[in-house]
Amino acid sequence: MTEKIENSTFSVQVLSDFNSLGVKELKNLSAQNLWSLNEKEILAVQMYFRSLKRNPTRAEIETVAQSWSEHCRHKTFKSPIRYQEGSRTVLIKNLFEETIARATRQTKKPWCLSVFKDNAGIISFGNKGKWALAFKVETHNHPCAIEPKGGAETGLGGVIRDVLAAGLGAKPVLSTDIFCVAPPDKKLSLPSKALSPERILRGLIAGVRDYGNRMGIPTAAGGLYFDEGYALNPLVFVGSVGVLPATAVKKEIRPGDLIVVAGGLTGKDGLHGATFSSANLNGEDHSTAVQIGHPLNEKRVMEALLAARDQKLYRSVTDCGAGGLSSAVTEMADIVGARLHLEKEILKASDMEPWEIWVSESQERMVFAVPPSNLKAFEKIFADEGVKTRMIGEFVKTGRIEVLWNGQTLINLSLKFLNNGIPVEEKKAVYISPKIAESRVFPKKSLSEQLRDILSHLNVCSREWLIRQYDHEVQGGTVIKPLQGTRHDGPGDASVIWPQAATKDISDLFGFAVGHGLNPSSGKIDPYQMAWLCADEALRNILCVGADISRAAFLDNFCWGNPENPQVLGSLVKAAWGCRDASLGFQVPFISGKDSLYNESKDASGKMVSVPGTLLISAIAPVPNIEKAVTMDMKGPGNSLYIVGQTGEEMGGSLYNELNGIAGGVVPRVDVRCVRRNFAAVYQAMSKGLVASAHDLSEGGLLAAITEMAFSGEFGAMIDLDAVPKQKPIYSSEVLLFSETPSRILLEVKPEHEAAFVKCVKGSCVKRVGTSIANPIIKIIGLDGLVLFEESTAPFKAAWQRTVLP
Amino acid sequence: MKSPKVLILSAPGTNCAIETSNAFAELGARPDIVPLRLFKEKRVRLLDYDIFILPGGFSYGDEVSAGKILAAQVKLHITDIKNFIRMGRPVIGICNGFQVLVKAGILPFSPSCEQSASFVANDSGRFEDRWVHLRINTQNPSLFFKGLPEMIELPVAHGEGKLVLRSPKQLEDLKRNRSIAMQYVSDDGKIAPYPANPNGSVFNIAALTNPDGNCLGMMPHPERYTKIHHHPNWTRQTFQKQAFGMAILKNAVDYCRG
Amino acid sequence: MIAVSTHKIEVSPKSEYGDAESSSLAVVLKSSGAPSVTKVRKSRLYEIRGSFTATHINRLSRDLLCDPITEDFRVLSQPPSTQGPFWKVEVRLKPTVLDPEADTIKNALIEMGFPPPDFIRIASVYKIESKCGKPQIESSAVRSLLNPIIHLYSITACS
Repeated sequence: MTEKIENSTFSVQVLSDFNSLGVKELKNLSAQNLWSLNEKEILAVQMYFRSLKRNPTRAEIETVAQSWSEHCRHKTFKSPIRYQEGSRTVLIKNLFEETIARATRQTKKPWCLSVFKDNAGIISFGNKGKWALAFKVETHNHPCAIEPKGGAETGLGGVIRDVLAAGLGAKPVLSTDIFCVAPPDKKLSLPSKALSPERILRGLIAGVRDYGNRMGIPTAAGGLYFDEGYALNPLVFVGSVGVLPATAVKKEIRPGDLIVVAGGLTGKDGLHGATFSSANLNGEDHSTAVQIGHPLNEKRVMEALLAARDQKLYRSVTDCGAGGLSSAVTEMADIVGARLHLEKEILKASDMEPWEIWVSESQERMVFAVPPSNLKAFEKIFADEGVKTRMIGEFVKTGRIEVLWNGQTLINLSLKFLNNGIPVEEKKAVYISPKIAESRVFPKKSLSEQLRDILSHLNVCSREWLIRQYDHEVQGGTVIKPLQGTRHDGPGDASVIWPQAATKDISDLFGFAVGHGLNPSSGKIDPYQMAWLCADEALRNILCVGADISRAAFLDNFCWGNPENPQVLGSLVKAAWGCRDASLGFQVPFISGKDSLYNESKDASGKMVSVPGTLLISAIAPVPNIEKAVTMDMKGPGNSLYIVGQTGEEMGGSLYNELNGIAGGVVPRVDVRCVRRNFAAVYQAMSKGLVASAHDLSEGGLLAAITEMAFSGEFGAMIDLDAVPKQKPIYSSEVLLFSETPSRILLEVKPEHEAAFVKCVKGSCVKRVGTSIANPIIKIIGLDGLVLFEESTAPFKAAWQRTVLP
Repeated sequence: MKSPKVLILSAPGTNCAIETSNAFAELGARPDIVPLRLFKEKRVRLLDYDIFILPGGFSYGDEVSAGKILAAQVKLHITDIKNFIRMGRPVIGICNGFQVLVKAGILPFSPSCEQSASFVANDSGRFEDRWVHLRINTQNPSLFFKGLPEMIELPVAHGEGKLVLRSPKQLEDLKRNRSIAMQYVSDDGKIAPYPANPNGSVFNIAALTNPDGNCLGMMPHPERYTKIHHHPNWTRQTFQKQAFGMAILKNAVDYCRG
Repeated sequence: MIAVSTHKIEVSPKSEYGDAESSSLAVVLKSSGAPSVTKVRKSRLYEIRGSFTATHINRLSRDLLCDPITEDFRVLSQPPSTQGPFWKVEVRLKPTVLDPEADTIKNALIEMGFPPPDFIRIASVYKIESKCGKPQIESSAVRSLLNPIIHLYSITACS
């Protein structure tokens, strides 16, 4: 392919009076240029250049700004925090190290192959550890608020590249997406420039659909959560799972390796994305910060990368994401050093300053470390796929980043300064337990109305309209689909992927499942418990399809408001502690994570509003034999129904409370010792083929769960509330039917398997509570032994299948 | 002939080549995924192969319209395809591959190879991935459906799958020369509108062949039903336990084995 | 040597094959503040700059840009025929925003042996039949058809 290559005619720009500027001028300069360097930071930069006795180039400051940005550095999670709760004060040196990283170290799982370091977390996979799984979930909130479709596309494109750059490159076999948006059916008063929730949602779906489907990667593990708190700041979590050979996990840089960029050309698009991601959304023009995706280009890069990986043509790779070449090269150079000739980068526009080329975030680019002897072969593979490559420099053992622009020095910085020079600043966190008076309202609605309201609630109702727009079966590996049951429309707890397109071995029956836990409503009452609930839900979802959760790994994603606000930070700290304790409690390590802060903007009245503190925990675990996987739909009449776990009077944050206008209440707790025993027993029974169906009890509790199982399988059920195991005596049938106590699962067991099943779950809290019946009705026997509820499932299924977007 | 050679075309944006190749390998054939580029550089000869597959995906991002750019390239660079078909060797265009065959004027068959049908956006206005019921036309002379029941299930996944014809007369021609291979039907086998017909195709057409029955274009994906565990209801035991997609591909392989 | 010039090609769907997109657009526009929209027709406008002969332009329109069964194309050197009255809303990506479709078509043209184009830009053209005034059309278009952050647009009355 021939194409006109543009040349930039600009020259190196030195900030000639930088070293003599005063504090105020420095701060202005930082703000004007969107560097997002605070006072301490910009002073540290000035001190560094004063010590060098020269003024910096603009490119040098841009490099520091990128490298020290919240996006690249996770300053909040890594700076000291003084935390105060009541009269108690705790000094946290490094929140990440003391919570998530510590839990992972202490769980000591030998099958964790790479945690927190690489572009994605990597765990061992497959028979005899022949393969590895890379998993990454990240957010792309700010761009999605402004241009939802483009934002979702580039978000998904970015996380796919993270997986392509995990180890020496994993083949993506699954994409996941979770959107937190405002309800599209509510009239909200929004600032003039804000997009309507409906438009945001349509755009996000179109973005993931158009990009994911074109990439040929199934999107089969997602979620959609509605809360008015997301009206101005939608949250968009995109994830990718890839498979790589165990031998391709290790990457390294050797001095003398060439720095090669491959992929799309560099343009002005995406300037300042990394620093922008930590700025508030305040209605300025962000046209360069917003991009749209080019999936065909990414696909070409993917095909070439995987071919080059299999021929071992490069030693390391990273994705060119936030911060562009600046971040990618600095990250790769790590402690070695790099020397580049930036004029060799290929541009799509000639009007670019050299610093712009250096930090541009043009999509679909990757950076490789290629041994010189492999360069020809490497270039050939990419050229064959129609991907442009350019050798722009080499790694050298100097400990510095040196960038030349047509022979002039553009950048000459020590990596020590870039990596360690950032001044740490103690942050203040305060946690005040929300005082929500528990209101005592006695709902007047009938059980039937309650159930209908729950099933038609936006956060519960069918996602079929959405799931079908995603090609969730490409690659021929989706053996348990997101929609399950007789008519392929029931709400599966998770999908199971059998990555035959990556292993190319259809005799290998190893698969995996991915699940998510998200529970912002409990976080409004207790962020610590929210973390436990998220972890529990994520694990329970994948257990329900038969995943081996003793081999599960977690990913965290924190989306909070402005951490300079001590109360926002306080709830973040609580949630991080919850993550640590849940990880240790379940003995499930975290392998990767991400935080997105500053999710706040001004509402129509000019008041700054931030999102509800939102934690997403994603879980991944192997399904060692996909032929043993389980679905949620009821399989036949005359089978026994079992419930796993005890029910408690824990209505705080429940959907029942929300729908009945009841505030406060006790947020459920996870009794982890019990739960681990229960879950292990359930997995044992499943792996022996003793469980016909399994469904988790989540929003709406027991009655919603059994109804979903029944209508998905087109059978009915009879449940005796007296038989439901309880933590303490419960006298309210509504509590038993609607409590959202975590860790509970409904199981269906066929008579011929019952004896073996009972033996298998002995010693754990798994109790028989009813029977499946041929007639498609739900019959509940109340605590008094009388029939409390007896209704046909059909109207409830109809309510559940309501329209969300016309 | 023992082990037929299968050419699976790849081009920028094609997606389903690997799983299609895995299926043929399982059947004992010798699949090669061959980039379009090699045809342009004249480094590969179609006639060296026994079976030709145009796999699913979004060739060239489906820009302009689905399969349009690849169809133009096939006309230009894979000119042997007409001879290949004339020689009676099996060709299958799957999903995007079917769109390519239609837009390149290969299907519906005409001696002049002039395009006479096309695809437009699904009536639902959106991309849909789901399993459909299909009725195989027992009158169709095709080699691909031996041993299959009249009613089968396969998944579809497309946004521009509504087949349209140049004229009503053309539909009569297709019926007369028995070129309609499969139709979308309801679960009780009746011609029915959406959702049974996932896209609104004329006469519920899901697949076409040439009158000789060796060139098949189909919107459903046979390579996504090569193992019974692909079926959405495999955990229920209440479905026909035959991987119909694999059976279609196997017929192509068996035919070449003679 | 063929002179470099810009060619405009408009591709529109033929009405007889139904156009799911156009009918859903009418619904969206109606709910976005232009209640009197009766009909929307969407077409694509390709602007291709390069050294092309009239034969080139006809060939690439026929073989690459237009479906012979479901669409018509027009090379816009002739004054546009009007079947008004309608509002014409033209939407294109800002020049600073990457256009994947244009990029793909450009590469395809080169692969197919056409002279390499200097640039291709693609616009969506919406012909909206409505009694609404320009401000209403504009605000509903901004709310549903385009995003001013990444798009340029123009609205003209055609009779």
